Amino acid sequence: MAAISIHRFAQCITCHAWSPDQSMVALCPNSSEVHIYKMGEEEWERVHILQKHDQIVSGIDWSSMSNRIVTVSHDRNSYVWNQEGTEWVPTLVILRLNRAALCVQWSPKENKFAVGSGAKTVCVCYYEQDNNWWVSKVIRKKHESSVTSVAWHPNNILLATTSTDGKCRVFSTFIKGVDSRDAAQPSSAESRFGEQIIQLDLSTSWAFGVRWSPSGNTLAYVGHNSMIYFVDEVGPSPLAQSVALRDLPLRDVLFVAERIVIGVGYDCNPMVFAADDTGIWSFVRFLGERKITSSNTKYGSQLSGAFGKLYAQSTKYGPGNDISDLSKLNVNAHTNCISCIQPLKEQGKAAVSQFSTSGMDGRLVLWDLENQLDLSEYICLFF
Amino acid sequence: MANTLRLYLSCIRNTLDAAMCLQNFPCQEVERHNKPEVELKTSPELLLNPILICRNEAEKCLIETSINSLRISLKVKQTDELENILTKKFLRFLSMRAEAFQVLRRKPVQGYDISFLITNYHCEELQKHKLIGFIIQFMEDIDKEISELKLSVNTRGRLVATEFLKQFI
Amino acid sequence: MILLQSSSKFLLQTLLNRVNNLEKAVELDYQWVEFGDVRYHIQVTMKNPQYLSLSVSLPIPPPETIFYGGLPVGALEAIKAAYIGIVQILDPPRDGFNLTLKLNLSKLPAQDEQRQVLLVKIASVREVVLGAPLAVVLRSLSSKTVSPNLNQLVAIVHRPKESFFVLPQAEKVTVIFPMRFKDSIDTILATSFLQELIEARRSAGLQNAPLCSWSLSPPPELKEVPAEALSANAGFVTFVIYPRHVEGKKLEKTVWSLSTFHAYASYHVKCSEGFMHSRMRRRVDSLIQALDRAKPDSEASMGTGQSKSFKGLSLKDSRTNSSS
Repeated sequence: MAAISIHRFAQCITCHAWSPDQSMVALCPNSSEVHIYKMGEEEWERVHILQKHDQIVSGIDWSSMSNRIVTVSHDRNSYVWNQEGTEWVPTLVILRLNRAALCVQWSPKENKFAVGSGAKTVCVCYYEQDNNWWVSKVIRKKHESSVTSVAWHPNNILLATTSTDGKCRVFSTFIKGVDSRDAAQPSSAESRFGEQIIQLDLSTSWAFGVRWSPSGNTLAYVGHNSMIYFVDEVGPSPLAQSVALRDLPLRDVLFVAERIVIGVGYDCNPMVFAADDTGIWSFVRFLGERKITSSNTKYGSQLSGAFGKLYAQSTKYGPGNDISDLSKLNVNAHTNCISCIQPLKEQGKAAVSQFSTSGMDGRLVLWDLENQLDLSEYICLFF
Repeated sequence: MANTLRLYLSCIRNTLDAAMCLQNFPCQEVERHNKPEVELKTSPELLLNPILICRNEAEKCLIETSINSLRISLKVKQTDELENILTKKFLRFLSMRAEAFQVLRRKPVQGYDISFLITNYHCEELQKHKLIGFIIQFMEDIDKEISELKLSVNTRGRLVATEFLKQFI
Repeated sequence: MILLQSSSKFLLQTLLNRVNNLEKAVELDYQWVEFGDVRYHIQVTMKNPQYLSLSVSLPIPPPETIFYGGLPVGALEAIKAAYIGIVQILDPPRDGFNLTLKLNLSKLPAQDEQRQVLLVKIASVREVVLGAPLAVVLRSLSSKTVSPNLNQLVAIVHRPKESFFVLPQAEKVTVIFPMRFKDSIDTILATSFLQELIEARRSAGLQNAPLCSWSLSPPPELKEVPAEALSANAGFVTFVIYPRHVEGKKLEKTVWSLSTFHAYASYHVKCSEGFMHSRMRRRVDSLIQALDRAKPDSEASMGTGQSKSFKGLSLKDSRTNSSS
């Protein structure tokens, strides 16, 4: 069984992020607030409510080394929250945005964070010691529509973005005085802030959810045309692969290893993609598709009653594969679109064996990839 | 006949299943606004190609999709004037209860009898398969309801006519 | 109540009330309107409590209808015949009315049954007055006497500025109704009702009912009628009345049924609409319920149940499992 914990926190969760030790989760219950829950003895306990935004919170990231939370909202603002004693103290970041902020991510070194926005811009923010504030530098006039997702390359310089104009782009975010030349790869170190390294025009529809592989050699992103794209050798001559799905589109992706990607989206069930020895990517299977083991028969039977009726009127899957469909519905940990996937990192490990998903059903689900026999060959190879 | 209806409805059901992949999406044009893009139509890149599903000339279904909203417009079969007024009246009754119906658009899209407007908020609040089930049931019901209404209006008329003629015997 | 009553209920009740308390002197002054734009007025004074003055205003006749002294042909004679002995027709009638009768209630028959019959007849004054021209024609059909206006089309008012047409022929009388409705929905419902009427006539039990037909355009009998009297948006209904429909006591009933045919049709059109509305309201409610069922509230309990069932597999536990 891949799903190891399911909890419904709200009617809908827009996004979530884990504390450095992963004992706490910060999530937005589809409102202007961020709720922080701590796993207690038996139950999740709400320990903090971050109230500062006045519209829906669209992005949360919790830095693992510096223990800072950054939040962005449709209200055009961003706050960096520092824990002082038992309180979380917000610092307003002047993003200089005139439209909603849509997504946020800390850079690997946690000295910068990037915000994608509905103003068709990306803000890269960094801390200015002298003035004691966060400064925002804006990448303008590159995107033709809203920026839906941002992802940092491990080198702390390159930033990948996806947009509703269907394109995926990679920019240099080199900032003098913040980044050092020698740290970065020679090619990217030479480029100025905001310079576009590459523009990938693979999708015919909106692009969402972009991530780099742990090494930074591969980029993955999804298109609303039910496609997932994998790009190697991001640079002047990239190698791109696209995998078409027979199911509903994806919203977000996560590299759990260099050659394994989990995609989540409108099918309410995480999908596993993997690259074989020759580097060809393909869809492996749904994560929640496996047979129900005895330990969770209660869960299965509970659901079958409720879903039996739904299935009777559902003709989504043609006749002929009734049984597999039914079992598939039975094990769906999510009942609505999954919009966010986050890794649960273990110290000293590049690969991820556990991750969490949240979505429009308000549920937060924890997944474990260990003991997934058919996936073990990929996992053994790359963990 | 019943078979073509089933095909028509299952085509609509499958299309809706694929089209109803909506998300919260703030307005790109106006600050701090969040409006159904399918109604605003200010950002062409946020709209998908509309899909028209026809059972025949008189019965069709237009599905227009955007990133955060979806519009379904139906043209209902009306073979004669009586069916026409029954349909009109029935749909007017529905639109009078639009607030109870949430997903009902107050005015149908031009050229159609009734339109539904489904936003990401409805998808957050309602279960997708049941929402689609409702639309399909609605389409089945409206056909059935119109024929039944027509039948009972006619039966009633016959009874009343018979009573009148009996007076002369 | 499917059929329309010929007597005005309110008038009958007032009359009965008055007759039963004749010794009590009261002041009465009532006015009201009934279907087909027929207006009533009754008055009783303290001075002469045994007298009741009853005024009737009729729908405005269209140009093709012939009125004598503000009344349809034969109406005066019909009144005199019907209310013999107790009535005095005032000339001129009360201002704004076509007819004013002065009824001497003290002269009513003493016998209960006879008195009741006469009171009902008074309450049916509209039938006596408006139905008079039709009654004249049908009576000659019934008595097999030659009608004075054989093969001559007679227009009879039945609604404000609208008339129906009667063509007395040898051995039969043809009655033609141009059907007009204001509302387009009424028109469509009425059209479907009229077609049901034709269908109903064909059924076995109604072989002896008058022949009836319906057409969208005016039937040939009306070719001489001016076009403005023939604008009928719900078509034309024709009844053919034979002597068997007017023999004996049937005459009165037939006169009433025919002269109120349009009112009957529109009454049932309105009832059909009411019936439709209540049915639609029910259906709309059931659809709202269907949509409400899409709300996941019903499975809220399931949600919490689920997290409980995973109690043994909480986050902490699972992590220690995986690291071991």
